Amino acid sequence: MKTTCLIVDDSAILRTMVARAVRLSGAGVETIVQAANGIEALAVLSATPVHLVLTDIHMPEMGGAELLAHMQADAKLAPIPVVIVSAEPSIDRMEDLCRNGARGYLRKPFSPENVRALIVPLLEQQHENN
Amino acid sequence: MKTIDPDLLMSALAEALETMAFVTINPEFDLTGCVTLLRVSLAFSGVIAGQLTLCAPRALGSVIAANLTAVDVESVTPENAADALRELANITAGLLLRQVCSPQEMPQLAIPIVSSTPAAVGPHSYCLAALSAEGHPVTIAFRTHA
Repeated sequence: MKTTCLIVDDSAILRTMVARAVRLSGAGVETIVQAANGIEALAVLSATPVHLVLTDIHMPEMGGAELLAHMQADAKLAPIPVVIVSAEPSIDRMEDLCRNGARGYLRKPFSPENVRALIVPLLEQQHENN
Repeated sequence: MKTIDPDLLMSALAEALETMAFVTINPEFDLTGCVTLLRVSLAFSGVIAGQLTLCAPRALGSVIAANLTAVDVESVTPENAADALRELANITAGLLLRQVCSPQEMPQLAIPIVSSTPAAVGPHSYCLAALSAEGHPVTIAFRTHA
């Protein structure tokens, strides 16, 4: 199964940095697609099969929490694991997002090892489910 | 909330620069040759509200962007250089607030805003801590509202 990862961040630099970290992590992601906010992400998700979403929280138009809520409310999108990638200082808010459906979080700054440790088990689980 | 001193501010900025962008830092600060700086303002709100302001030349943003994306500095666009400084402010604010705020008072970060400022005005108006990164001056200020 070809693995596709969606990276959502309003910063083009950060999308490239996260994409690089995902590639360097050796997690076996073959295709990386990108979106600049939650609205663009939902458009990508409706057109492309995605196996993992990595999203920032604070973005214009639609942030990560709202994107997560939209995905959780959609039976087709709810099973896709969502990981929050943010400089958010509050662990409580990160954990609130996990209680609302996110499967984990990466706090910036992070290393490719941090990325690998978080996304490999999620992708393995996705492969088993498919 | 703990008191913020310049050392704490400097250490958060240094950690962000070194761990996020693999940039070497130096405590010496020199504005020679800088005409214009980019100023990144990052507001935060909640039990504690205020603003973090970071000033640096676009050239430093280019260095950070190049390191983050593994491209030549010359190929970094002005927008991406500004983007890199925005992210530097974001990560520095996150690191700093985690050190000084309790979980109950942790503020929410807004989206950072970038503007230009003359080098002769920017650092003097906002400077609380200053260092040099890859030979480029960086200043950072943190203030809370009453």
